[in-house]
Amino acid sequence: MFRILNALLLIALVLIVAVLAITAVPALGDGHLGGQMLMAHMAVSGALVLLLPVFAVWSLVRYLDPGRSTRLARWGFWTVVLTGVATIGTVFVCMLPVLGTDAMHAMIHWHGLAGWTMLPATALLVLGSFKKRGAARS
Amino acid sequence: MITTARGLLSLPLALLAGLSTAADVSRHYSHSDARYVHHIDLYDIDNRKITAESTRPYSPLNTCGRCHDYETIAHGWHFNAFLPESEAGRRGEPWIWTDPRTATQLPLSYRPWDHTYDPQQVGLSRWQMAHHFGGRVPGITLPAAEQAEAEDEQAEDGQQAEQEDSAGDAETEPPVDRWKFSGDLQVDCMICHAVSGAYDFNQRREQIEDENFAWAPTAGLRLGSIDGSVSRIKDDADPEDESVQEKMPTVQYDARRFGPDGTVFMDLVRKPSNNACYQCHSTRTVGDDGIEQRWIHDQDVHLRAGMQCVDCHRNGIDHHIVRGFEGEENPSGQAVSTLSCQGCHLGDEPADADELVAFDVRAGRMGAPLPLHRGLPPIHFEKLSCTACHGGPAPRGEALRVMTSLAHGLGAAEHRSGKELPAILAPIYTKLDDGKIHPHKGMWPAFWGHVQDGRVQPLNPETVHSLTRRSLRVRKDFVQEILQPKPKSSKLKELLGEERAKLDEQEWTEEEAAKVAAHVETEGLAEFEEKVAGALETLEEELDLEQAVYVASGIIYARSEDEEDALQQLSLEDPQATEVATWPMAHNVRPAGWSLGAKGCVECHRDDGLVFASTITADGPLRGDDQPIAMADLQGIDADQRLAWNQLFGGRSSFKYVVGGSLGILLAILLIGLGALAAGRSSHPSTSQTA
Repeated sequence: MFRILNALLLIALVLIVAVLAITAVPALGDGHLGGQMLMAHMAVSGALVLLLPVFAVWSLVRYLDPGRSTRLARWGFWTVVLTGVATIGTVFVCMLPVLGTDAMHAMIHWHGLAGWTMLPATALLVLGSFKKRGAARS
Repeated sequence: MITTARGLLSLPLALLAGLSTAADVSRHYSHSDARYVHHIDLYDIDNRKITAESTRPYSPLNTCGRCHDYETIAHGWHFNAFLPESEAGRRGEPWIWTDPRTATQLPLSYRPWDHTYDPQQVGLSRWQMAHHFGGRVPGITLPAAEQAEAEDEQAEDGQQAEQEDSAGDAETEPPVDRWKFSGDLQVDCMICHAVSGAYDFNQRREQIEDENFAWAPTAGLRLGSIDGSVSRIKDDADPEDESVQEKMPTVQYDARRFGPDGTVFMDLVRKPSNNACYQCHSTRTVGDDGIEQRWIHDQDVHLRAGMQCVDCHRNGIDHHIVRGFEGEENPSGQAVSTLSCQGCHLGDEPADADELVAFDVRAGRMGAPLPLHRGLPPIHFEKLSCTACHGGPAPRGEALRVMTSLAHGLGAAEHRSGKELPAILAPIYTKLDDGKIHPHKGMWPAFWGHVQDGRVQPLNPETVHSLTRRSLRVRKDFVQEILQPKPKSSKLKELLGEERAKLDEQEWTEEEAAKVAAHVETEGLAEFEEKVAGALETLEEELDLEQAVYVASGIIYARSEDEEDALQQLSLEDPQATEVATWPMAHNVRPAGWSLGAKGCVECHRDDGLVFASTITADGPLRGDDQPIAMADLQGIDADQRLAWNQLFGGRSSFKYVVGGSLGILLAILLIGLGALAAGRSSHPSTSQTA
């Protein structure tokens, strides 16, 4: 049961990050998000906001214990949490009537960087998890 | 020998054109910021010095043009609308040829603006255009005489060929050209440069109505009284004939205006006052109770702050007035980006600009405050113009009628109810070529025309009026006399009863008023069918047209093929004739607190957000199909997508708490991780060192 939940949470995280990355592609270079892509990006980002803390709390003990996870998986986990905070935080401040236009432009820039960094971080996490499982099987 | 008004203008004009340039050092100028006192000699249209005994009108060209580069000035934005080589620029308010007798409101422009017709193609001569609209502009510069003649001939040929194509051996009249009698409508410098209130625009209008173009500047400045009217002279009269010359208007100058040395004091200012601009640039909103009173409206926030129109709408000697929109390129080559909303308030600095960026692209010109737009996602600046949120009349559920100086002659003392044609509506939130939403004014064309190559070609409105006079039998107002006929007293008695019918209509109950209105509408539509069918038949016969039509509010009416005195609606793919013609507007700019979105995201991102959900209904002499069109449809926004967005924004404020909570948890986990890392390092110092 524990393992199934672990796997489900990881799969959900991977899917969410993948969709967020795909919907952010138009923003690469000088482009910007708009229309259906932006709407999809915003809708799925809500899922990340809900899932990431659940995943982090659920997996915390495992990734704190070197005996229960590989180094690669731990690196992946903590990078995902860190980039997650940066990605969500940069958008969160933009939702508040705090920043002016220039600062918001800067925040959106940092949001993009943090978001794209989350992609390899998630990949590390997945690779680390597979390695652990592979090691456990052998 | 007395020469004609226009002929004598050509020599000094040619001389000036040869001698002058935009930065002409050969002229005498004060070059001081101080006002130069103009005690000057006046010169008439024949270039003779004017004395108190003179009878010829004063000429701005020969008077002001002695020191100022008239030829360059005359090609400026306000005066070059008739010049084919002038820049079209961003589309603006067209000339709307309005004739209430034939229910016509036809948008015209020599500039190739969307949804406007070229007056030449309609068969209207430049002289007719000048006569019709001259009283609402500060002067008209004409193309060189040979070019104008060639174009007029071309227009005549075009018109003839067009009608021959469609109808065989049609006979057309040559375009009306009465310049030889009226003189030119010179650029009248004092309209804008006289001190506030010194220029009488109504006197000018009256002279132009009387076809006394060359006399208008003299009347406007009240230098004397004008006796006579060019309109009384017949088209075929010989201007060289003495009897005709006797009929030409004469001026009786006010001797008190002349100093002992024969000069006249021209009380003028370098920077025109707002009052001068208002003569041609006033707008009034028409509400349910008629023309809205002035006191309930605030002025533009910039004027409230003490600015003048010309602080932003500037010009050099070339008089290419800065129009003030984003991306404008002034023909002078001068950078004008900081005279637009965005440039002035936000700057026009490149994204990678350092602190050494040139002053002329920096924000804050004239002390403009820098808006932070806190919490407004930057995508709004890509989708919306500044004016979409800040400019124009505050939006309501439905676009209202507005009246403008250019279209309705505001400024002339007349009885107005607000229902006068043309029916202009605002604000209309639709996109411009830059892909952004701008507030617009707009109108549906209404005109008489004929079908040619699957499109509607307008007929000359003057010709239409003279040919349909008998069939329409309208004295003054098509709408009132045909569409809203006064019910006969017998009918009123039948509808309301003998006693109630005697009462004033103000005293009717709502039910009674509705009953009468329904009757009027039915009668009006029956009358419309009969009269318009008759008029179309007349036009087809007289002009030998295959199919004449009347267009109004997006519907094309033609004679019914099955019934006599009845109409049918044609379905033609002709957006120019059937769609709303729009042009962007900016003023009045509302203060930040009154801008759209000041109350938060859901002011617009909700199902009834006015920038998307307010509507416009085709209006004009006829109301059309009475189907309101949502602004979102004009903007090309998918309705489902908008509703989905609104759903997203509906729970946005609660979602902020969710995001905040999520961030809190993640930060706590990060702290735990850091704590564990620190604890691990302190308990295994050697491990961490070797690692």
